[in-house]
Amino acid sequence: MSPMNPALLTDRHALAHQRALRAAQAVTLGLFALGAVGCSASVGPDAPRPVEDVAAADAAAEAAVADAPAADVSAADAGDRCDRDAGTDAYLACCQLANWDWNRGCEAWGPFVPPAMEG
Amino acid sequence: MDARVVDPLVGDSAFRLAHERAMGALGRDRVGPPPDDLAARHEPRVREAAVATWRARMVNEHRSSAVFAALVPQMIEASSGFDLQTAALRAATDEIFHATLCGDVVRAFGGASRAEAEPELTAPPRHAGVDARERLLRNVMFVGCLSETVAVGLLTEEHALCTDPWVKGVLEVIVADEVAHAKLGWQHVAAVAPTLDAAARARTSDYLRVAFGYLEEKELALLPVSPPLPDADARAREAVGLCSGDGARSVFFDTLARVVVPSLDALGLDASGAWRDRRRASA
Repeated sequence: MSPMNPALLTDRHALAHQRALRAAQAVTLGLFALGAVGCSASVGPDAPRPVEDVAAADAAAEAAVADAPAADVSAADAGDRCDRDAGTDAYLACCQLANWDWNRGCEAWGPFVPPAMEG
Repeated sequence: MDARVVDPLVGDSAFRLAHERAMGALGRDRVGPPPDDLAARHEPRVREAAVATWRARMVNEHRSSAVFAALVPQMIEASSGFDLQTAALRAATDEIFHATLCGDVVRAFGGASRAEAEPELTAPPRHAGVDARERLLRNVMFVGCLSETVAVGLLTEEHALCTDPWVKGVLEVIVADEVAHAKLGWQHVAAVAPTLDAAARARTSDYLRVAFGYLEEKELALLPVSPPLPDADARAREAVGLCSGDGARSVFFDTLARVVVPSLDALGLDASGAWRDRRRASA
């Protein structure tokens, strides 16, 4: 696993982070393990996809992620930090500075429209 | 120009029954209706955040349906197999299904699931100067290998931290679909990339620079930085599927640098160079 990122505040966040990377790795592992024939095509147009596939791929991906180099996440990449112990006023001012809104969670599931490049 | 309306609640129409059956078959029946006491389990301010965030997700997922659907004409132009076209249309339907589920969550927390959005959608680019096969490769690579692979990471993190059983069930169904959408990209790129000549491979690697820079900009705009909340507040938000922006950003960067880039390198593309130089690329 990569060195702990400051964004990973607790054990549960660190575990969730590891699980997220394993799941992402699993979608690419099928390429190399199964010769580019994964399970997505095996589900018909009106059938729900088996959620068990995600968990099954989880363990298989763990080693691959552990061996990969860590991301170049700088402090700026991971976001500005606000100090909970700085007092309420300072804390709220920091939140305002970061343009953070209690009502805004993460919305970035995508996919987005690809960018264009000529030639 | 008037805003367009996003409303997963369909009225009486000739298509309603078929639509409801399709949503049920895709997984809505498995998720089931929300428990009667769902709203009462969460504080009002948490419910308010859940309504706002899941409504925004509803709009985004609905828009994503158009992305997959618009790839199908490019697949036809590129003489792709019917199987890829079917998979893309299934993914487009999945995204409408996800928007429907997001609307269910909004209403379950007491909100209205009707929303307004930008009037016009942007079509996938045609990348002037490249042939149909290379055009499709770029767009499918961006959608499946980059955007949807990151989505798998983000959703998996949210699912892992979510503690409300019904909301967790919603996330579970959505992430299972996103896995298939990402695989669509990886399978297509794995089949096509090794057949590129040196010039096309170099152009595709150069496109990755643009793609990484663009994706970083888009993702970070939708992953708002949050200060470290008191643990009780963080848990209350995570319970309803709301992760922290900085944690999600960490997942974003690690997914790209540790999963996407090495996997594309293994397919013969210079993804490492493209990732390193992404901030000097412009779309």
